[in-house]
Amino acid sequence: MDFTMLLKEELMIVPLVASSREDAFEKLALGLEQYGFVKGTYLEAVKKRERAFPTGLCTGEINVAIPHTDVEHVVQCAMAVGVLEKPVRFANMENPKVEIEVSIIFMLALKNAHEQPAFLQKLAGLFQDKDLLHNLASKTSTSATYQLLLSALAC
Amino acid sequence: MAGEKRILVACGTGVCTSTMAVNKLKDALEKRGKLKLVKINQCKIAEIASMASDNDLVVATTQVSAKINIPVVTGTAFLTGIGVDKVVEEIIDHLKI
Repeated sequence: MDFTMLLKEELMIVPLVASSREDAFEKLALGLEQYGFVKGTYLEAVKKRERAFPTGLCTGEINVAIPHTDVEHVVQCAMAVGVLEKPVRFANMENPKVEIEVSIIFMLALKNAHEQPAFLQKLAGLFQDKDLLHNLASKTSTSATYQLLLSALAC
Repeated sequence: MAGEKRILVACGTGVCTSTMAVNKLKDALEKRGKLKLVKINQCKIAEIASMASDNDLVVATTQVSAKINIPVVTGTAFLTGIGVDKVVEEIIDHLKI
């Protein structure tokens, strides 16, 4: 399956300058909305869901987050990616009382239940690759980030 | 197969992190020759309470606040790769498979 269809450079912000996770959400959701991947209700729904079910993932060194929300706010499946200039705080998915510093945000717009299982599993695989995450976090341009993710997801 | 144990994999929306976790869980169980002993389903966290009685164990990627009478195991290890073996052993212990 071709995962690269879901990867769009125009939905990437590198470096992403954000003062908080919600600030980061606003910037990342802008592209998703502008290109018609999500409805106007998406951003608020992501913020609300993040408060109820945080998505910060402690991967060991470079932490990531995968904010997303219910399918009714999505028009077409897509993913926005932000490599933060400075990490922002997220609550930890497995224990919301703990906050972690997140460096890379993968904001997911999922349209149907189980629509992209192979893609999601592939993405989760990236979180387990510490070298790749370090490499991603060091990127300073969208094109370099895009190329790296493209090759990581293609193999 | 009759008598197979039922595992419910749950996350906030029922579409994202539970999907990420399911395959890793299947791989880990397969590696131990236990995959054929279980049936795995996915749901939203909000659905756990109503589905618990039809299942033997919950693997959740987020915190479960609902009071249910089957074991709940945290499944974020399947996303981060950290501590997977320990979680799988815990699941196998709970299910006695």
